[in-house]
Amino acid sequence: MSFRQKLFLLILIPFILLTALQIGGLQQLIKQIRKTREQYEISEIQTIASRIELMLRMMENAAINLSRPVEIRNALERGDNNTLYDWSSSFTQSFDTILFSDQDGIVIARAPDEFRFGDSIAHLPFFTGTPGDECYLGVTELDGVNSITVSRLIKKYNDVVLGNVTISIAITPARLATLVRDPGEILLVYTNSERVSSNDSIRLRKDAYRELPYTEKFAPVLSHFRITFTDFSTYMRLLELQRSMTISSLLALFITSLVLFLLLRRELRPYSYITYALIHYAEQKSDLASTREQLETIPKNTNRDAGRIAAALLRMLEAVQSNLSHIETIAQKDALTGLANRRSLDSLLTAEIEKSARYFSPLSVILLDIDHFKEVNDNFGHQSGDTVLKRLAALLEANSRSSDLIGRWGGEEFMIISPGSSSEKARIYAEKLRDLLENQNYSIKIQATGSFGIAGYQSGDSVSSLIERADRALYRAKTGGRNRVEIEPPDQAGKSV
Amino acid sequence: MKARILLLAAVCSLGIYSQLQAETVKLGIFPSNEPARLYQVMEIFGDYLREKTGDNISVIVSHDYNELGLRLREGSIDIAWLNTLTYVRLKSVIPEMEYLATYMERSERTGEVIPYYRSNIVCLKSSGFSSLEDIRDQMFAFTDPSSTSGYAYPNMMLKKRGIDPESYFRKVFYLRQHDRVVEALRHGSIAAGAISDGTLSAAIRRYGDIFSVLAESEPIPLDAIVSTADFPSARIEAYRAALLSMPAEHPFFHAMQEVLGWNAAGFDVLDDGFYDSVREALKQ
Repeated sequence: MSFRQKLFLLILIPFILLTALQIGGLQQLIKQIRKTREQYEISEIQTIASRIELMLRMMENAAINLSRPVEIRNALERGDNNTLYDWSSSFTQSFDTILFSDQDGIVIARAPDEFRFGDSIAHLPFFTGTPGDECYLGVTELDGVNSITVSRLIKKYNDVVLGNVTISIAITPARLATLVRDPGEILLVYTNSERVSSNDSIRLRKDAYRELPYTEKFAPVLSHFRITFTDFSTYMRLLELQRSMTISSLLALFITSLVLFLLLRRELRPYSYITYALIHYAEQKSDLASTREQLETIPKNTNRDAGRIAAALLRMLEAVQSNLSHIETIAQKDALTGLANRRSLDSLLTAEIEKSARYFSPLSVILLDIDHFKEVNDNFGHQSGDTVLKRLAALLEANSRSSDLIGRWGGEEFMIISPGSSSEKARIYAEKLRDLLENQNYSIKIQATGSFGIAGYQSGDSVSSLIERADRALYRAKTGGRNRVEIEPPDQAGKSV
Repeated sequence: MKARILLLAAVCSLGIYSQLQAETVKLGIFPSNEPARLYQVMEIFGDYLREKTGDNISVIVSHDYNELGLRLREGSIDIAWLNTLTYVRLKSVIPEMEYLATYMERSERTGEVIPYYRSNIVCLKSSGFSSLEDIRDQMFAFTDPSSTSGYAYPNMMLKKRGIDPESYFRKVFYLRQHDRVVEALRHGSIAAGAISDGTLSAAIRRYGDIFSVLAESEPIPLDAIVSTADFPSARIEAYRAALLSMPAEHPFFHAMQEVLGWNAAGFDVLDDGFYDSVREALKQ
């Protein structure tokens, strides 16, 4: 996992936790509110159901009481409107309508509507549906209004039906409002054919309404009622708040993650660049130059710190490169004369042999050894010896072609690799050098001459075989009296070396 | 001394007793109309009698005709204003009951002050009914089985035409008071009903000429004022004198007219025989 990823998670995880805690807390709160509300609502629903039940029982009792007196039975039998009205009018405080009807369903008396009678209720369900010994209980449309209706038979001799006494309470908003504790908070709704609400100014969604509990006896009335609590909307708002909060939290989380990701990428990308460039270099997948190039391409304006680090690294790499090239130079040159050293000469000769072999071009190697150099050292000191060596080096450099490769082979021995030169050409060149050396003037009285051994490249020569042959020629020059040039003739045996 | 004081005390108590006796004359009246209205009018009547006789008059409106009969029999009232039918019926069961006077009205037709009235079977003009045949199978109302003009006479009129109300009409209601019959008519709860001509006149005055008379009875002797058998004869005379001398312009008659709609115009002292025509009619 990268540093950027770790940093990303490090910042994001607390944020996620905080968001989760916030949402969880709200959830918990809502749960508690819901629980309290639920208990309250259950108790209110029970209370309202009990009130309606009580109302029904009162209606039942009134119906029973109005079905028993002999005076009522006689009045009903006679069609005595006045007596029946007197009896029923005393109940109008509690109920909306009390009516007496005869066995044909003709209304004999009705309270409080004193002078409205003689109409027929024979078509209404309670007239035919009233059981023999019990009360009819239901909701009936009376005078265009749905009304809770309780009806009971009035009998003579306990078996001859004279008619009915019917008590009703109209289901009106005002009546429903009296059944609830707070009409602003609790809605009691009658929902059968038409809807009547305890508070018409409030309308809630259908699914907000709940049934009232009821027993089988009161089912015909209670089953048509629904109840709801306006606070339900508060709860719904709370749920909506939770939903919107969750959504906004998730959105915030997403945006934060994105911004964080982009910010980290912008801020840390230069470091990644630097790291990758350095790792590549360390793994030798790139050299210093390309590493420098990579570092130079880092967008420095996005992160000034990273830019500064990259610039410093760049400077460091430049220094390293410079030092390396210096070291390389040191490794390839002879410290005293500044000419190529033996190791360098080896690799140069290897390369030139390869070239000659490939292109069949001539190549000659000249080995030069200063005669009696030990005596110079012994007689004039090492300082002078070094001077001789330096002068010789300068002389060789000054008088050779640019294509010639000159180096110190070791001690007072020098090598000249002369690409494109045959042995003869090399000999002329060596003669010229021998002559120049012989006539060289030194500040002190030193006489330095040189012996030259030349070998021309022949097919199959290796570095060692070529040098060996040049060395043999040098040996001959030494043994032949020094200050002279010798060429090693082509050696058939050399091929096999 | 002691004996004198005791005698004085005895005389005083007797005096107070007799005075108490004079103060409590209870006047019962049948519930022909809304009790509150009846009280309103009868209080004026009571005041007049008190003024004339020196008795304190307590007005009692009975719940129904039966109650009035019972009260007369048991003596919980002293004087009663009975409608004709109740008088005839009660007289047959309480013969000792004393007739005092007969109530009189001014005839709407002739302007005469007479001890008679009539019963009418009426409907609303708007109903379009013009005869008793038209109201067959309709809703019909009497006032009370004890009412003369609200039941006995109209029932008789129907019977004479061969109509049995219980089978002829779809339903027969008893509304007890005459003005309730008027209200039931106005509300369309009944097609026709029986009321006194006085009630009809009052209804016309109140609601306009919206009623049609489908049948009218013979003249019916008007209400009787009676007393219990125990009521002293000297007092009976005093009350008769008071009733006979009641001036035509007395506020009571005015109140009867205004509040109850009856054309009350005075009292006459006839006799029990005056009501024989009713007895005859009832026999039929």
